[in-house]
Amino acid sequence: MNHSSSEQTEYAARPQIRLTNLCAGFDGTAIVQIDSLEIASGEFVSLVGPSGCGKSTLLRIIAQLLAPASGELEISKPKDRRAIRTGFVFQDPTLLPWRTAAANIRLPGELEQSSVSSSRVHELAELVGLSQDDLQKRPAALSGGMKMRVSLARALVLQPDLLLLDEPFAAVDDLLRQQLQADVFRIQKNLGVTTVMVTHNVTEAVCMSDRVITLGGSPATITSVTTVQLDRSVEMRSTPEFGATIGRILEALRPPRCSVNES
Amino acid sequence: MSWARAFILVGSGLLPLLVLVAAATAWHLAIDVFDIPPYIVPRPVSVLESLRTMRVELTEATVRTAVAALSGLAISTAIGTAVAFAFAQSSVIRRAFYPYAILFQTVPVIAIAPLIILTFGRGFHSVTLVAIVISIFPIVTNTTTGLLQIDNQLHELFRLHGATWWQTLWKLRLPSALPWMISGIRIASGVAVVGAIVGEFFVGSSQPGLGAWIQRKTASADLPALYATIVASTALGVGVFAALTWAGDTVLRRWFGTRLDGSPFQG
Repeated sequence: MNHSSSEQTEYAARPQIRLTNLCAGFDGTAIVQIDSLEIASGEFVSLVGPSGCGKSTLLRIIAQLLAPASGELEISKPKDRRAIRTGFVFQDPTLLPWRTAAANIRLPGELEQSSVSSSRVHELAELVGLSQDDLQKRPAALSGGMKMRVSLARALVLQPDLLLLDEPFAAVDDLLRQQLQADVFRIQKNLGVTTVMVTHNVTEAVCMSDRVITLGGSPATITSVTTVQLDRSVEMRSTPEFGATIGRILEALRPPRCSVNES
Repeated sequence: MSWARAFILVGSGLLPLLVLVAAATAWHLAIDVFDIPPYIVPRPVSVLESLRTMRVELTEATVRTAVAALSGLAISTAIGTAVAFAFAQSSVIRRAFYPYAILFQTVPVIAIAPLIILTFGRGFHSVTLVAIVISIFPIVTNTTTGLLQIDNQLHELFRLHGATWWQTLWKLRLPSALPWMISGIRIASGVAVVGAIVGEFFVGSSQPGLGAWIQRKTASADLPALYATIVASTALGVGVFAALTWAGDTVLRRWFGTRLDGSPFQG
């Protein structure tokens, strides 16, 4: 999908998340320092960086699971909603083992006292690629990929304004990862939900997002912002443009004054 | 079905039985070879004979002991779970009392039983109390661990959706702790039987369970009867443990779709 410049302006015109002079850390040590970051409504942004650079911390701040040490986080909520709704997909499926897939998908509704109809569960199952049979199974009887799909359906059940993904495909094998990446990409475009994904996989970030933001250094700061203007077909992956985009991002991830042996 | 497979299937029950027969034969022969008098070691046949003649009394005694042990276990489960809840709710309570829960586990039941009987008198209640004292700690420690060992990401998920304290307890902590609790009750069931027998041993004839029989038959040096009582005690211990393992497995299969060891249950 090619984003025209008019779409880009539209994004910029309605930022949904705005981080200003935000600093996060533990016990007085800064881990992440973000001077300014705006994420537009409907945009898919990936945060890429080395392990332990604080990208997951940043995601948890956006989810309001953690409070920043200083600075500001603004999330604008839609007019018709009392509060911002967030869907979160964790690195592990994070399902309740004693509940069926369907009951796991319903959980956010129960916790927020917002009823989830069974037709809504079925609609989601279809969207993420779960069969009616899978819905009645407990996690122990589902494969890793199916569990991830249940986790994704659960994150979407309350029609979130914000979808946050924390290295969602780190624990699945290569083939399945590509499939899930394509599915999440399609679903995100369908729903138009503002999405922030944390990953250490540059290819994954380029295949899925509108913008790739790299983090690095100590404390971690934004080292590059790359707008991805490629269509996301499988053929695209073998084009020089694809390779060049990945190369640019890898360059930004390279630690300063330290040569990395690329093989 | 191949011969090897048939042999394994039959053998799984047959082998332990063969060992038993071999051991009894060796026991029988050893008495002849070393000329051991029956007041030191009785013959396996006379133990079997005692089991037959004493079957009514032994069954009665076993039932009494079972009732005391299971009452103790039930009360232990109720109190132990409540204590574990208190431990899981407050780190101050936990830090203050948890060391004693561990410490009490190491006090031998044989030392505490006479004290309980001296304090609370001879009777069923004291026997049950000994069973409670010995069986409560595995339940407290296991359930506390279960209530506290909550997956961090699941906890974040609950917080993300603004779960109340009650929702977190009811929908997350309690079900997560269930396998731990079941495993604690299973361990406790074995020691509750030991506790009841030790209690009866000290209470004596006013509470004629297996413990009282052991005490009486030791005093009268009726060795075949003593051996028969030991067989009944072991059978009770194994029976209670097996019953609770089955019950625990059934509960887990219903609620989790997994077995006690966490392996998936299909079908």
